[in-house]
Amino acid sequence: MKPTGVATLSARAQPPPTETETESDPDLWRRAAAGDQSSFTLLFERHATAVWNHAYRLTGSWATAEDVASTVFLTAWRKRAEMTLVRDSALPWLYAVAGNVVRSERRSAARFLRALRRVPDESTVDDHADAVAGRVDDDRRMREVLAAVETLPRAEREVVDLCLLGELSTSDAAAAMRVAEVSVRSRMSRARARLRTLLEETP
Amino acid sequence: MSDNEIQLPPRREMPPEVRDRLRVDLRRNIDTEPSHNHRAPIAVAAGVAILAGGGLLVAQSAQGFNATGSAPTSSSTKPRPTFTASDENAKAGQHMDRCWEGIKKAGKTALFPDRSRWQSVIKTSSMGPAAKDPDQEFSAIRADGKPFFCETTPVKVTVSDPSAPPAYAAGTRTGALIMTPNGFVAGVQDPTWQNVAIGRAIGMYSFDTAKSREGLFVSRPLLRINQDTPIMVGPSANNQKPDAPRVLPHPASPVVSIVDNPKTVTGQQDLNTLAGRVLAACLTDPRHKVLDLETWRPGAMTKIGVNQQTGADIWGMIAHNGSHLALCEATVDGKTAEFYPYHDGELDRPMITLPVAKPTLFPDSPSMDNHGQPVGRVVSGVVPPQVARMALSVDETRFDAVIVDGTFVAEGPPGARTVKYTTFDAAGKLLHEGTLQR
Repeated sequence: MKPTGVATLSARAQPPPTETETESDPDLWRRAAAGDQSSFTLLFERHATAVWNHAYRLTGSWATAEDVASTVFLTAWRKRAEMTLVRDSALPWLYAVAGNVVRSERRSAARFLRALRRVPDESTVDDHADAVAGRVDDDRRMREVLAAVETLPRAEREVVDLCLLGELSTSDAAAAMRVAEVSVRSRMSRARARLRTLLEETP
Repeated sequence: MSDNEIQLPPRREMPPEVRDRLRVDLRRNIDTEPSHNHRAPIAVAAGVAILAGGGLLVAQSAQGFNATGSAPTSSSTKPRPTFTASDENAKAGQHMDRCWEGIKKAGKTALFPDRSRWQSVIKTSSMGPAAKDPDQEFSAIRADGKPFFCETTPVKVTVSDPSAPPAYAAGTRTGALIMTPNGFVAGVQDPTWQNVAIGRAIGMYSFDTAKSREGLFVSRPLLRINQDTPIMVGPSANNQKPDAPRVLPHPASPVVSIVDNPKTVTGQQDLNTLAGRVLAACLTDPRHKVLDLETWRPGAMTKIGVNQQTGADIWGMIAHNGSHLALCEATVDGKTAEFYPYHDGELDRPMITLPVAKPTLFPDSPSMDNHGQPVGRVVSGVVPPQVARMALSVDETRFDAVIVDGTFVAEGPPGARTVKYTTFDAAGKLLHEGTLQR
């Protein structure tokens, strides 16, 4: 059975569908939920870079970020019919899913952490990062930040993931976490104080 | 603190080859996986394992490994997912069926049009990113010209009175017909309004645009609502904040509010014990969404740290309501309070439901690492009701779990991934032996 929809996710041989300014995330999400793959494709094209960057900031590894991003969009596809997108942007929810993907794997798979520690030694993987000056410094700094974030209480960690690493607004983070905005602000304030101390101590 | 303050690496443009690989991976999985074949958590683990092996990451992850780690079957043998309007109608129908059963159980069928005449107008749900199943579903329904609304949680059904008049916002024809304690607000929409912007007037909470259709509106869950919670509404266009929000009066209480899960505990909560006071701190913190407030009971708990400002002990508890679990981390004074109902911390997997047939790990144990203590010392979960004692061991270290109402908590060596267990009944008879994998 062929999926419905005009455009579908595809390799480069098939150019991505054209996006129009008038189509909001909630509109695309609703159509995707009804089975329209082309709408989901537009959501993917719109947010793939942001999710991939966020996944890097959660893992400190561009290679792992790619796999996390893939999982996030697959999860979004599976849940599109069950979820109502209530914010203007799908990003808060996608970021929250990315955070849960990473946290879930950290808890359940020791090899995840082992692999992350080995990432700098495996830079022979032929990816874009080889061409970027300062990549090793970036990765090292990202791991320092992540190590500091790991020491935070759970609730502060989630806020840092979304607001500091993901650069979401406090209201968007509150919606994604389903807590009051004032709670996000207070958690962020405490987290900032702790991180400042921790990261200033980092040699 | 901004990006610059902590010197985060700059964001990058996604290279075309990365985008292509993501497209291919997603396309293959969308096309080849049945709609309910969940492999999400495995994808990362598989990717990492491949990463450790070198440059095979892209090739293998694009093949879409399944939950057992084996290669997928041919796409020609698996059905493509098909999602149609009829699927959505079926879901809406199933939800209304449960609502109708709740009405019957409550003995209130005389107040409602017969189920055969119900028409779904809006069906929505709310779920956390970590959950497989929604923890709240909501339907706007019309029958015989009357609108009414139904909310369900994993344990409860709440339905508005079809004959109740809307509680109109002053000077408008937008009126509330239901406000549930779990946060849904719904009613009739002023026909001159493009959309209904709605929000709580406390807690600096943002306005959101309600979902609207055929003259009815449904908000997303607005955290906890009680009779004292002011709700504001206003006309909205293009998801903008309303210029002149006004109070939306509280409507009549729902005529059906019934726990329909037979395993769920009902009746008065004992919150006078130490464990009860810890749970009360979690339940009464207004910053969090606490579904089905009245159903939660204290379970096993352990001290997991100290509040740095007050010096008060922070307790970690597996709370339960007889059928489901929640995680509570709190001080008795409520200065620290985190509550995660219907959440066990695993992505995209079914919630743990009680009773369990064998000892089962709660994936998101209370976190000692959150409070300056060594990582991963707490092991927690649930055991079958007949278990009276649970002996645990990590290598040569032996320790017992605290068991309360089928929940258990224990402290072991930090960082242990595998914990062996043996359980006994009250007479000392061996019941189970096995291993918990964290």
